[in-house]
Amino acid sequence: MKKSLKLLGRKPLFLLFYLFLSSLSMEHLIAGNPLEPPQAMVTGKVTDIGGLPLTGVNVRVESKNIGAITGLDGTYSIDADGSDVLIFSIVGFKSLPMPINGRDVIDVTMEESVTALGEVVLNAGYYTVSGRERTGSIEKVTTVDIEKQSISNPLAALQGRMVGVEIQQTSGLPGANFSIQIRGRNSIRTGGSEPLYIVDGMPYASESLGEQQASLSLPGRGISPLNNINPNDIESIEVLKDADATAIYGSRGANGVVLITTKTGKVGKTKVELKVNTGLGKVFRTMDLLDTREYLAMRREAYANDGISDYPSNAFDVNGTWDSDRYTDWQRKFFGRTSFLTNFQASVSGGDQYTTFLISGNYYTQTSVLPKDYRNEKVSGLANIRHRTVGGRLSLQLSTQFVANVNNLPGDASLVRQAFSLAPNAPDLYNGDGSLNWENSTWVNPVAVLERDYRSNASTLISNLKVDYQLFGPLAFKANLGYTENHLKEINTTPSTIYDPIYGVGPQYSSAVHNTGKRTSWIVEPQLHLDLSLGSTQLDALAGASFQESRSNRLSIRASNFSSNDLIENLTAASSFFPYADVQDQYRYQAVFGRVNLNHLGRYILNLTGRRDGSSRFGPNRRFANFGAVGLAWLFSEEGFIANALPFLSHGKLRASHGSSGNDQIGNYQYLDTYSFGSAQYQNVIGIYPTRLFNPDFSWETNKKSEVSLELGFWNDRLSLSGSYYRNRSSNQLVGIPLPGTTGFGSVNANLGATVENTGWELGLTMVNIQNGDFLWTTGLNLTIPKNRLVAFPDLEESTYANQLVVGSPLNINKVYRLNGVDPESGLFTFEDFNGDGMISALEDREVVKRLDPKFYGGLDNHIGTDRFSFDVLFQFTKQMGWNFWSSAPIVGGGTNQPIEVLARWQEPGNVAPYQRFSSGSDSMANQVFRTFAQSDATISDASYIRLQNVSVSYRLADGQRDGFGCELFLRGQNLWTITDYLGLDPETRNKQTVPTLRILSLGTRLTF
Amino acid sequence: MKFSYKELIMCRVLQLGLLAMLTCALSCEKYLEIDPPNHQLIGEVVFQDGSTVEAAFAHIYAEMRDYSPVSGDISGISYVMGLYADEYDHFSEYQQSARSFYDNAVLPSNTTVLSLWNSSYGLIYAVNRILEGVGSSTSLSQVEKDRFMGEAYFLRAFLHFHLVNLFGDVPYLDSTDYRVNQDVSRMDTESVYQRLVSDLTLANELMSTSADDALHFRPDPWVASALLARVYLYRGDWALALEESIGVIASSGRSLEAELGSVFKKGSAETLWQLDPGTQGYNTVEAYTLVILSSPPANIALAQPLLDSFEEGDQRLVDWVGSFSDGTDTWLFPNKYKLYNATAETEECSILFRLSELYLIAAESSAQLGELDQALGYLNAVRARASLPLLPDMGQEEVLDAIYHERRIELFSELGHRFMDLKRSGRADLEQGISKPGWDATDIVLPIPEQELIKNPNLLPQNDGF
Repeated sequence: MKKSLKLLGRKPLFLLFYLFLSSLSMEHLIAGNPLEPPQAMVTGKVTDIGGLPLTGVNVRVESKNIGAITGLDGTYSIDADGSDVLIFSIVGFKSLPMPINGRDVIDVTMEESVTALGEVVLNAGYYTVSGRERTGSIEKVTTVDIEKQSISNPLAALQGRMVGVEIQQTSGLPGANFSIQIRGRNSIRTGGSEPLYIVDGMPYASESLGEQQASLSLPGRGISPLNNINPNDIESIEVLKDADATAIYGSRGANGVVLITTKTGKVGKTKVELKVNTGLGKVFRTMDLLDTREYLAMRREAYANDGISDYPSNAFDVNGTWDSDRYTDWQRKFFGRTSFLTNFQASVSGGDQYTTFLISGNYYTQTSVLPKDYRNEKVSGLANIRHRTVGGRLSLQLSTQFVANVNNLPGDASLVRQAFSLAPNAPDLYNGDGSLNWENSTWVNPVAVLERDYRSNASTLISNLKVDYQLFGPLAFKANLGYTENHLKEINTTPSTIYDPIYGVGPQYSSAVHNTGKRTSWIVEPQLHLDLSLGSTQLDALAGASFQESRSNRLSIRASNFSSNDLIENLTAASSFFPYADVQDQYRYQAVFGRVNLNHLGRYILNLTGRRDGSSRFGPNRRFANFGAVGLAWLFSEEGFIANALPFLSHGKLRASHGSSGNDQIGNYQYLDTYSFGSAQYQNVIGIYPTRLFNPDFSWETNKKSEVSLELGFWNDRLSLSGSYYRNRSSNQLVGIPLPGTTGFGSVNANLGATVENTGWELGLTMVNIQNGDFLWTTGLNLTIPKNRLVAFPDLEESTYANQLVVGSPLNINKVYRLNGVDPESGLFTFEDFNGDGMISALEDREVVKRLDPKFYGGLDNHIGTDRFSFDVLFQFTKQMGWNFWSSAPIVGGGTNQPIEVLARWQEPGNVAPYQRFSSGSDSMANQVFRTFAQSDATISDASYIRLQNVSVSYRLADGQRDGFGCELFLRGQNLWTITDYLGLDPETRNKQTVPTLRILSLGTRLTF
Repeated sequence: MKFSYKELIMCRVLQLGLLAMLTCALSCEKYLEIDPPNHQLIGEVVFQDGSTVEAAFAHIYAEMRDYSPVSGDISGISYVMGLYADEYDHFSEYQQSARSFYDNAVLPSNTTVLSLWNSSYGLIYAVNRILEGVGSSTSLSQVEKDRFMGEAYFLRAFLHFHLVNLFGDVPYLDSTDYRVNQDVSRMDTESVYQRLVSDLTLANELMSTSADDALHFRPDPWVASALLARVYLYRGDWALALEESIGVIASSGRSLEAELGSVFKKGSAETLWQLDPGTQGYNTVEAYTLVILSSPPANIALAQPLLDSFEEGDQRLVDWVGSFSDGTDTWLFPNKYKLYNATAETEECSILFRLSELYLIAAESSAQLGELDQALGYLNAVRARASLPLLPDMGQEEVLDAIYHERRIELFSELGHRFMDLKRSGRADLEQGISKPGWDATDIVLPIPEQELIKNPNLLPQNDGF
């Protein structure tokens, strides 16, 4: 073996492995053997409460710097003086001091530490670490918190619960995306700031396989693959943020890492759990719009202002064609229905000390608030088996989950927008016989678009095998093998029946968009772990390699000219086809990574992590890059002098980290010199053209992250405080660098010397307010104050980003006109003429920079509970500016309804009013000024909110301890109450084109036996 | 601790397996070599097969037809340079950048100027890619290579020809390397023409006439000669211009189309090169842009000075000029291309080179060389077709004036010929030149796009007057 090593000695990394492997021959290092000649040997066995042997427990002689570690069977031996005290400690268990009292055999049972906040075990991906001893920044949400919420997307569980993690729902429609940003936006490219998702060790692609032309009703990037993970099956979600935690994920860690761990079975007799809950959802807020009387008064005043006394023949709302006494609340009509949801979860779990298992199944269904029976249905299953051989050397864990998700939505998103614009006296939607009412062709019936139908059929399989084999002594071999498969089939149909029958349009005008996508990926990650006690210093180390491949393909076709609307879903009934996309992608990735963690006396901790990555997304010269980080922690509360001086301080830690991670989210094949197929023909040949200027030398975005953090726990952690300051600088930005036209193209993908900086404060507080017998009241508060800044951008003024970015400002800004109020004489809006040329013109006068990032955000969490009763309430808050109702709004006084605010309009000379005079739109000056208004700073206003995000009440009728039968009733509320001054529908989505987030109330029961 | 034999074996196997994997991780860089994408072609692959090279050409021609200086839409030179000279009156309220051509008040920030520049260099890049790819291809036959290279050299010259005439000194690009092309300097007009001549000479040698291209959708050696003749004419190399033009007239197999109404039809006998509309039944963008169908005209109408310069009895005023009347006003428009809608079969295509220009080149160069009889012969051939009386013998200056006049009428609304002729002859500023109020002597070239000067300061200085 040594020979073969020498052959490879030229690779410096092999030195590290050599160290590992050479330790195999060092007999004296085998765990449990004394490190010094024995004085008096103490031996024994360490078990948990269930009687299972505990491996890797630190056994330390209190008065000396001597330590040992328990072996696979939980045994240890250590030399110690008979009058000394042994201290047993291991992550996840309460430390146990045990006086020797002259005994030479001491068997101990260790108790799991659940309540002590410092003993939380955190999954850091390739390794675990205790909350107390971590050097990195890791946030965790467990099943306890996830279960309190009625949600279908796991990201929803994190909202308001984590510092540095900003999550917002993009729509109240089932299946909609959540946007997530961990410590701000790092990349100038939009869409380059997604975190890396890892489900049970398996990277999970969050990019949609959807076709934009099909999933029109969902804002954002199409239908989200994250919906295909059942939140009920999740044991914990950890978010890795700083360099120390993310550097081991190298090139993909720049935007943070989200680790999702599924549930596993527990030792004990077989347990069956059934959980059912049903709920009701409604939109949480609507806007106050003009009623018919106010609306018609506005219209008449508008025409009067424009000097028009004969209403135009097509002004049906006001010229008497439509009933001027009708009133319909279109918001209620279009998204005012109640959404019903049902969730049924059943699981069986159990096992003995060798084998544990968990099998669970879930059915989830939710209808929408739209005026048609749309439904989202999900069926999912999880099977998790863990086996450990009798000797304990080998353990295997196989987890497999499968989700099938069928989502039915309207094929068009316009209905929500119509709820604001439709005149309140517009006609009935349907005739008496239930057919669409076209009111003698005086309108385009807004619900006609509901004839368009969207259906997605998605399935996901995630399967993962973990192998853990204890080699000699402190050395273990681990491997992580995984496979995932995603399928998506979408169809969006547009039958000719959406058109007014007066046009006599038949199925030859019908069309359908079909999209099929598939993605498969696999991963193999062999690793060596070393866990070694060197006297008073504990060494944990690991080294591993990773191989990954992902392949995806997608075919999207628009079919039209059907022979019959009944066959609109069948391609053979169509006679014209246009392919939107036919693409196949392959992505390969390989890495070697390692970690060395030194823990001296449980006080001084050094954590070194590193990764060398190769990605097929870069050209041959630039495939590999190195990333690394160093993390330091000092548990000063463990120092004698501090413990003596500040006895109330139960935990005090100062930690700092610095390092780098990268970003390879630029899509595949971008470095290649390729030709693409054009759409134009010449001599019956479809042209091909050079896709881009190819730059084989572009490379990773690198993100240098630094953090300092202070953690304090008082009075046995009854009060815990933590504060962090981070500074992440993302440089080497991968953008299209603008080029002169002589190069043949406008830009080339290259690494630009632009730097984006994210800094911020993250503050957390946890308090055990009352702990009296079984009564517990805790409060948690978290607050994040982020700041994003473009530090440098060479030649910004000449670049295509000149009008979007400003050096020194955040990336997420908008340049708008400055509204100077309404001219009291003319009654029209006026604007600041920045360049003084007497005209308000694009670019030159759009000089007001508005920031759209949150100023701060956070959550306030309270838990009150006894052993039977528990009450949880979570408030979420965000201070931010956002697009309001006025962004790209139609003119006030035209044929669209308006918010009641417009009643405070200018009426006659001398009026000082916030809104300009009504105009029907036929006054070109008023029209033009209003268009400018819709692009002015008036369209970006306060969108802050405080939201009662989650309330959960549960009561246990039977606790399952004595007779094996447990029963719990629970009531949950989601998004119950919001305080906001936002001018618009929903300060969270800030989008008037989509359904606002829903207020959901659900009731359920959980039975265990 | 005791290990069983079985466990020891397992341990060794695992260790060896692990070692093998780690070795692989460090040495198998090949692992990252992935298959090429199926929705794009790798550049090298394109040049291994004649049919994919044809597809690369197809893109260039389609692009020339749809978005280039020679396309017939409102950003092509037929339109904007017609406005810039004195061919059209402008009516559209929306075409701000075309309006400034009409007013001779083109700014360096003008978007049409930018698109003339960018679309040309975009196509030059595509042509240079073909030259490099075909040149280094190992699988194409020599015959194929010659044909492709010849066509590409021709296209490179053709694209640069328009650039140098519009902008004056311009970079002549023969590389695809953006690191070179992003900071090129302008080349003096003389050198650009030398490169043009050398590319065209090469093209002429390498190109061949394809028998299946009866409709002349692809340039052939005669088109290269035709452009060469035009280049020599513009440069004042009269003997060479005469030689090339006579060669084309005598040997290209093309002849003047007898019927004026058929000159711009798809099967016209005098077409040297025309562009395929791409879709069956489509006709020209020129007709769609120029034919007036409503009042006031959506785009342009023929300007009075041009209409006034038609001689009495010129049949072209009947066959090539259309009129639209709304009852009170009447507007005349270019009607060389008549079909603004699709027809069952394509009937008209945008013509880039036709033989009557060669007659006029032959006439002009003969006249310059003092061969006045010969000059009148060629000139009268063109006049005769327009039912105009033959010109009698006259002095050299008069003959030349007659030829310039004839070019103005024969080639009106085609590819900016009027502007180019005024420019090369130095007559733009004279009375018979562009006597519009906005005209300035420095307007003889367009400004280099402002954005380009900012991105590449090596292109400085800006042309005079901007």
